[in-house]
Amino acid sequence: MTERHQKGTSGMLTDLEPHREALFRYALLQTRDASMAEDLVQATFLAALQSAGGFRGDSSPRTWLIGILRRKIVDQFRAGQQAAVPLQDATRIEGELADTEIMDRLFSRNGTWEERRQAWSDPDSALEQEDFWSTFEACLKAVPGTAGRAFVLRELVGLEAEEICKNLRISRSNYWVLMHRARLRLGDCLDKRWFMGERLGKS
Amino acid sequence: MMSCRDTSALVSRSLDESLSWRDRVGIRAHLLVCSACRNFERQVLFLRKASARLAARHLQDAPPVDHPDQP
Repeated sequence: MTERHQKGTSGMLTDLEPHREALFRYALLQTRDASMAEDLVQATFLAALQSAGGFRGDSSPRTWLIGILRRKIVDQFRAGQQAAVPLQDATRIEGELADTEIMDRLFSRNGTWEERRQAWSDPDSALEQEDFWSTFEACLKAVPGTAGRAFVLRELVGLEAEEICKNLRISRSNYWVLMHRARLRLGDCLDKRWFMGERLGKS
Repeated sequence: MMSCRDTSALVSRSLDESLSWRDRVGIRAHLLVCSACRNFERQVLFLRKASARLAARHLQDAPPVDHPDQP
């Protein structure tokens, strides 16, 4: 550390502290694992302290920090492709796959929709509403288990299907099943908690 | 004719992988006559868009840049 950083490490840590919660929230959303999220925030702070000179002020400190964190998250899941799921969870994944509750709830025995999928009116305008995002996050968190993880890794973190399969130790066909169920659940939740209200409000 | 259950699973899968010609034809034929599955297709595309937007929102936590009104 050079003389330019007169504040010293402890002073800089004080500067970083106010960002901890937002960084943690971001990491938790993407990893769905509190202790992993905490470690990643810690690693982000460390990297920030080591490269404070890398912060050029053309973005906000928050944006800079989240940028570092985002790379750490991707690395975490790419690193050797080993990380996230401990081996003993293999049986839990088996159990999750065997549980067809969501399919049985949404589809009748002959494979038609139990309740016809209704259109969502003007979904793009929902994207502009703050309330929508808290509903969306709540619905996302409610997608359980490996299905929820796979969905977040694919659609938020942006990993490829292959990387996700290695990381979560699932086969490609299990991946399709879990991703599909995640989409069904998330869609169902948004329908009930957001778009149904929109339909009723307008009729 | 494919069922809604099978069609929706293939629609979901098509977001990550290109399907066989046979599956694509099967989906199109089903969607032609099934508005519920057409709605589902639109919805999964929206879920993808909204998810990407959610990830990006965290990056934009910074206050918006003021547009310079002065000449």
